[in-house]
Amino acid sequence: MRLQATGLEAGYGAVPALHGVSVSVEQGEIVAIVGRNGVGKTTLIKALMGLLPATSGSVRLGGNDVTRWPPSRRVRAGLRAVYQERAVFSELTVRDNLRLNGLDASAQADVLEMFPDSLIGRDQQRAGTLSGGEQKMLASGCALRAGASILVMDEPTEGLQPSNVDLLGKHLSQARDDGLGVILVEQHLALATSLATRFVVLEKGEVVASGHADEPDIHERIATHLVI
Amino acid sequence: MVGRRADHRLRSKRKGSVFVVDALTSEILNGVGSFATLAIVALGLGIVFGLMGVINLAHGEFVMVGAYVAFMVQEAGRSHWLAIPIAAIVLLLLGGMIELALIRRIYQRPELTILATFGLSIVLRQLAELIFTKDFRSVVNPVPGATPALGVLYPTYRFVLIAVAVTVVVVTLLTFTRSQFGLTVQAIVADRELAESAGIRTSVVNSLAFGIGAATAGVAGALVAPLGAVEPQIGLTYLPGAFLVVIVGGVSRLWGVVLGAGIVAAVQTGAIHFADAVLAQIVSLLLAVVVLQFGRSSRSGLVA
Amino acid sequence: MIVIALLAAACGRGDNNDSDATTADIDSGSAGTSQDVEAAETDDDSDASTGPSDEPVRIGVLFSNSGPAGVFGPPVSNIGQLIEEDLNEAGGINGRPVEVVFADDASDPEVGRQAMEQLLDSDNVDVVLGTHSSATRAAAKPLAEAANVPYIYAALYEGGECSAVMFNTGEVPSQQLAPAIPWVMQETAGQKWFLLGNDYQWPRRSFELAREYIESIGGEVVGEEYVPLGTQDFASVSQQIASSGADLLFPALVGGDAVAFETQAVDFGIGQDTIARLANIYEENVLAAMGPEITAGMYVTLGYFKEVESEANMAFVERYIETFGEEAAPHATFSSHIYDAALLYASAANDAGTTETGAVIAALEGRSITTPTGDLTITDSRHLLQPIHIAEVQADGSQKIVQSFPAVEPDETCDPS
Repeated sequence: MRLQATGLEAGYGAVPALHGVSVSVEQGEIVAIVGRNGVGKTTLIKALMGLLPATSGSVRLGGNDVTRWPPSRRVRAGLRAVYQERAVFSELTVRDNLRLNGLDASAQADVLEMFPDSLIGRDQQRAGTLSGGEQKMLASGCALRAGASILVMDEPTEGLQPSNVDLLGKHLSQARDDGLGVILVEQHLALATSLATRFVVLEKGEVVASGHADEPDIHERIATHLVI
Repeated sequence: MVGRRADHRLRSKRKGSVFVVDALTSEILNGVGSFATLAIVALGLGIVFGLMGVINLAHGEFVMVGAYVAFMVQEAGRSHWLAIPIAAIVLLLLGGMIELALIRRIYQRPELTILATFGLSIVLRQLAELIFTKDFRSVVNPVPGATPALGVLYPTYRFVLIAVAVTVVVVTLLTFTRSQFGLTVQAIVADRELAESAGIRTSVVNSLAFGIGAATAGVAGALVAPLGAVEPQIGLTYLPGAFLVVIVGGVSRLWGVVLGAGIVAAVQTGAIHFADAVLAQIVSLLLAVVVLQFGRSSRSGLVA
Repeated sequence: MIVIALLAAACGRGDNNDSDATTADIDSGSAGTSQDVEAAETDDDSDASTGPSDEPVRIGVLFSNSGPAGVFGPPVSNIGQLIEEDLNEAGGINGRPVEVVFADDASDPEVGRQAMEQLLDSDNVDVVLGTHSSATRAAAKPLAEAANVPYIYAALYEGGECSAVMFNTGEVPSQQLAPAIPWVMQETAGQKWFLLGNDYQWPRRSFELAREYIESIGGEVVGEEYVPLGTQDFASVSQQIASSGADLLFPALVGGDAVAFETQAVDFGIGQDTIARLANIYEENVLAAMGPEITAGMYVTLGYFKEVESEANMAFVERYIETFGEEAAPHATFSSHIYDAALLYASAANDAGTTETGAVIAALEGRSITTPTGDLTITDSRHLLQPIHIAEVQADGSQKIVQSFPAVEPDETCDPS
């Protein structure tokens, strides 16, 4: 399965934050979206998921044009998301968050065990009482265990301790090898570099550079766009 | 005014026998009956306001439709007990369709939901008038007379009303607070976008939740039908009480509706007992003013 | 406005000199200006082919056709057609055809004020007949006074109205109660009354008088309670009545409240077999909704019942049913009062030879007519000397008149000058 955005325009109010962005991801690869703050990465994630309507362009998932589909329908077609902000239902318990994501008992246990130091034994706690990083881990765990084909993630390492960043990297590369496709918006360049099979650089709502991880000058080319 | 109650004994001359009745127990039963009616009428209003942010001014008309369902079931020669589930189903479908056709388009616009549901209430009343005319219709009490229980002689149908209303309220509240469906509704209330992203079909859940709110009103309508005239305007007499309950109880917790109904029923019954029904109405309105004045937010009442 | 009207009238008079003979005959009796104004307007906005006598006399009916009191509306709507038929068959008013125009107050005084405005300003009615609440009357009356248009309030009400443009032809409590209370007490041998009413002027005034009549003949009021309009739960009140020791009940409850009270009270052991009722507003629709099991034996006192056994009335009721069908809302006190008021107005305007307000009002004062209702006379107090009947509800739910008082004086005073 393939997630393909073509000429995507979306934004808040009258001002589009994306100007004709085209990105795609296949199952089994991780595409890192990089760029400075405010270039439209979060908007892209929301538009891919359907939270923001596309004012122009299209989103295709597998064989379907999903541009007008509500998020829940995209989820049932195999897409999942981890958001940067409000990644979990903070008013509900950890257990309820797991149940809401449609996880069965063993998958629920899996998620808690994915980050053993952080989540085990806290399933009856309200998710809002977890730290920001722990909430992110919960959201990532849910998304990874929900049986999706394609995953879009917005800053999943934000607030995570280094050990947990490594752990998340391990889970992601494992999932990729198991056939998951990931679009990864990530400030943590080291993690992005270690995981990504391709890179896309966003600037002011447009794709300004892209390339495969095995291109020799790829890191220099990305770096020039990230220098302030 | 209290003096006339010095004789706490009520003689009933029915069927020649004399029942001795404790007036205080009866008054408590009156309060419980009032509570059960208020709770079941207000429940749906609380659900759609608390969970969906919709101020449904057509809620009284859902009660009215439920009462007419009871009338039609009677005209079809069927038992009144059948009318109660039928009213629930009819209103579930009607409510779901109304959500789909109208309410869905105006979430997040409270002022529009007020206008739209106000218009809807007029349309429903006019439809009722077209179909049934303005004539008063009546639904025959399936269990006339009184039953001795708890040491008092009390109208049988009121026991039925209390039992059915309390059951429906409790089951509905448990559905919304304890079941997977209730969890998805809570998730939508907490964060609609995140709920969608977890795969919850929020539009379906919203239709269903609105439909359930309407269904409880339908049951309420079928339940109260034998206690008065069935006519196109009856919804208007039930709406103010329901709003009062929602204001007093708040909707940030659904159980607030139950507590609100309890407080309103206690205050009203108390005011009627110690003074009269007119004062009871004034006291109720004062209660609403006080809660609105000192309420913590638009969603919280005195208790929740 | 008045100056312009008079000028227009003057012009109209000149233009109409050549009108046809019929018109001339009828106009010969005309002394006022109002009709001439109509004539002038006719000339302004119609071709010469229509003579001034074709401009109809418009009878406005302000009534409740929606909202809580809307249940009383349908027979009033029906009666408009019979008023037009009867008056036009009799030659119209001063030779002019009669047209009835309705306006609905939606049981709401503010809407009622607007409806009155509509009747006066847009429909240009010559008279307003009203059957609606006292609250609507209070809101609408100043408009009729300002427009100087006769306003006949034809609904049963608490009494006390007095205005230069108004007549009040509905039953007032003194008429309903002065004869009925002693009769019921004698009939049932009951002495102890409970008075239960909706909380507004009419029940309060009714109870004030009822107490007077009851106590003057040695009876006793053991309870007097009021409930807000729109009350659905009568449990507490029912218990109060049951424990009051009353053997007679006077329920002044309206519409759905009446049905709710009676259907609930019976299960508290206060059916007709334990406490006899004398009601002064329970009409057809309300009684039918309660059902004969509850209503059988109740007494109702009103100025009109369709069961009145006069030949004129039986013929009229038969015609009503033939015209509107068996299923139509039955002719009742509200529609009969509007019919009678229309006939009173037509009679006065015909005698005055004009629809000019001053002349019509002068002609209405002291006027006597006979209608299917019976012999009616407008009193000095601008109320109506009229028959009052007591009906008893039968086991099948029908009503049977058990006592009639052919001419009951309203205990009212009015000096509008």
